[in-house]
Amino acid sequence: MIEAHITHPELPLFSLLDIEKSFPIDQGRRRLRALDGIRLTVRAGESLALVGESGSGKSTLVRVMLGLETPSNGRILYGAHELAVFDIDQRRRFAREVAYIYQDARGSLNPRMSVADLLAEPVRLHGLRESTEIPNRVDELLSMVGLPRDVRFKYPSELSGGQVRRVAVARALACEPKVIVADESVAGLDVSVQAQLLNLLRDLQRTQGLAMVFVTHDLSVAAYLCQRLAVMYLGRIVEKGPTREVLEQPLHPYTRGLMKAFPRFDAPLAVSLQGEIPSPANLPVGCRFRSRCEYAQADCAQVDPTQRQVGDSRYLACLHPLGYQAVQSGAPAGALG
Amino acid sequence: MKAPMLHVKNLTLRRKGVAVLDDVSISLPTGQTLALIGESGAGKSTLAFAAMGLVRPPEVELQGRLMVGDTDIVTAQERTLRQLRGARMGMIFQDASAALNPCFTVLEHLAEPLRRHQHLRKDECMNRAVELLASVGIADPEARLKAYPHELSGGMQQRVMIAIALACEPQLLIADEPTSALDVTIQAQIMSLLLGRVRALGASAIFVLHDLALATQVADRVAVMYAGQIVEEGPAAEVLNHPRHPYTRGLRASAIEFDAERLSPIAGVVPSLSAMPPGCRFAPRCAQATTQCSTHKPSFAAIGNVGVSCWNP
Repeated sequence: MIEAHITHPELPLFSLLDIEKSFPIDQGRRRLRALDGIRLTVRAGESLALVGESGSGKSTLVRVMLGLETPSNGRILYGAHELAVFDIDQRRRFAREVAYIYQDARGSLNPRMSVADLLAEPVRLHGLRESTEIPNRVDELLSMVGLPRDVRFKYPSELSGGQVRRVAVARALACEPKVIVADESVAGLDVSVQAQLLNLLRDLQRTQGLAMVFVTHDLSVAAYLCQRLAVMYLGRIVEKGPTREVLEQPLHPYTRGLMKAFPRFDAPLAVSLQGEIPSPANLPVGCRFRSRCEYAQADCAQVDPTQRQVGDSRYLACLHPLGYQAVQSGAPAGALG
Repeated sequence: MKAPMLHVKNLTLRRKGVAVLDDVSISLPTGQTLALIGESGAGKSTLAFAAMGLVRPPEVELQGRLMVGDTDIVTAQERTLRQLRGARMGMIFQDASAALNPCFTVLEHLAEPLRRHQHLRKDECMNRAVELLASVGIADPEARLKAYPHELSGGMQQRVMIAIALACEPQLLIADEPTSALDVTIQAQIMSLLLGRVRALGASAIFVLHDLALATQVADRVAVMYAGQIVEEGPAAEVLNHPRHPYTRGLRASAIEFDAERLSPIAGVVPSLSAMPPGCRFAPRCAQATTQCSTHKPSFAAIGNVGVSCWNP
């Protein structure tokens, strides 16, 4: 059952149905389960953030969504069609409609191609413009991402970190995509450059009606860019819902821990989560967050909670959610927080 | 009043003729923590490395005074500095995986400063290493002694770095972006560990940070750097919650928070160090710049307990 069918008349762009991805380890004697029971939809024009610590499976999930890895179990639908059985034409269309902005923007650009060539390539390959029109399109793309026209003849090595990421965004836009998938696209930048890029991405998403899947470890970036939020922990989505609602009242102890660990101007330093994310090669029995959860009870060691719906639009994988009654009775946010 | 732990007066550092630090003055009282913040290229790390005596002539040209305790770092002999580093000053680098030697075990890393500065015997080193690992929150320290860096997670590596830096109980700890490669949850753990250890030793600390909110949480004082100069300096909460310099205000408006409506980033980019404007270095990006700003360099003036380098604060 896909939640989008109920609330939305048309099909979602992406439907991920109980995706599992495991990798063989120890010469194939064991399997490392990187993704487990992922259920997710992305609708047209919608922005979704995937958030979690390193090792939570965010990037693996994106790679599976893009068809770069095949899932060990489960199905991925793009529109009405299954990704695994695409024919060559469908694959080509998919490649145009779903643009990926790599984590390492500089590494994703051919160092021997100028910015103009880098931006012209997808336009030409997908036959989106007459060849005489391509230079104009390149200028258009540059102005969309706020780069001056004279970077056209520069090479990636001549650009600053912020400019390289803008070129990567422009290259994604060159395909005229329906969805942009971005992996940590603003990490490691100076605050003012990061703010410029965040504003650009948010404006593009809103004005162009693009769907966006944004992978980030930064909850505040997720809150700024995305309407929906999925929090991942050890290969599973532990909490999902509208970003504002989730951040105003996190139900999963992990979400709350992540939020509290964030440096704030108005609160002292808080260590909200002890220990580190366990290795996915040795998943804890029962709830996988139990080893770090301050609310863990006896049954958490036995039952592995699966994703269930809470309220109208929120999903949760926890046996003892925070302030659960408060949500059901519509009490004000944070009543039990 | 005790002598300051760090005293920098009119320090100018030139690399190949280009002033990477320009007329920097700052003083850190003993027992306090200082955060250096600003964007890349502002000179934060250079100042931290200079304080450690890691950037010195003939590699660079140094003018002015740079005192750590009663040692003049600019003129001190390399031999004197070697006695200080690791013993009275400890340093934590940004990338722990690169700072740790992949061929050495955790024990070998920890034993080096203990043998060198405290002349401990092998078995004493072993015991002290176990104590140190336990003090930085590493579970089962005996078992970890034989581990090589690659067998540890990023957070664990940074904990080992902290243990090494604090092995000889230094009076000054310098940490260059100690958590920028780590998850926020681990960042909170590491920073609170660092602060706790520094306070327990009664030491002073300098943190190079890019996260403004984190700076308000961990530092007593903060110095905001821009293009090789300190533009605003004072108590952390005061400077970051009531910024006076337009650059600090711009940084603050760029910093993302949960309930941010719209970020207003600073326009433009930092000018190249070799082509600095003659007046205020921030003038070309500053909305309030006047003609005076682009021709005359503002001097550092105190407003209350905050120092600001701006014509129109």
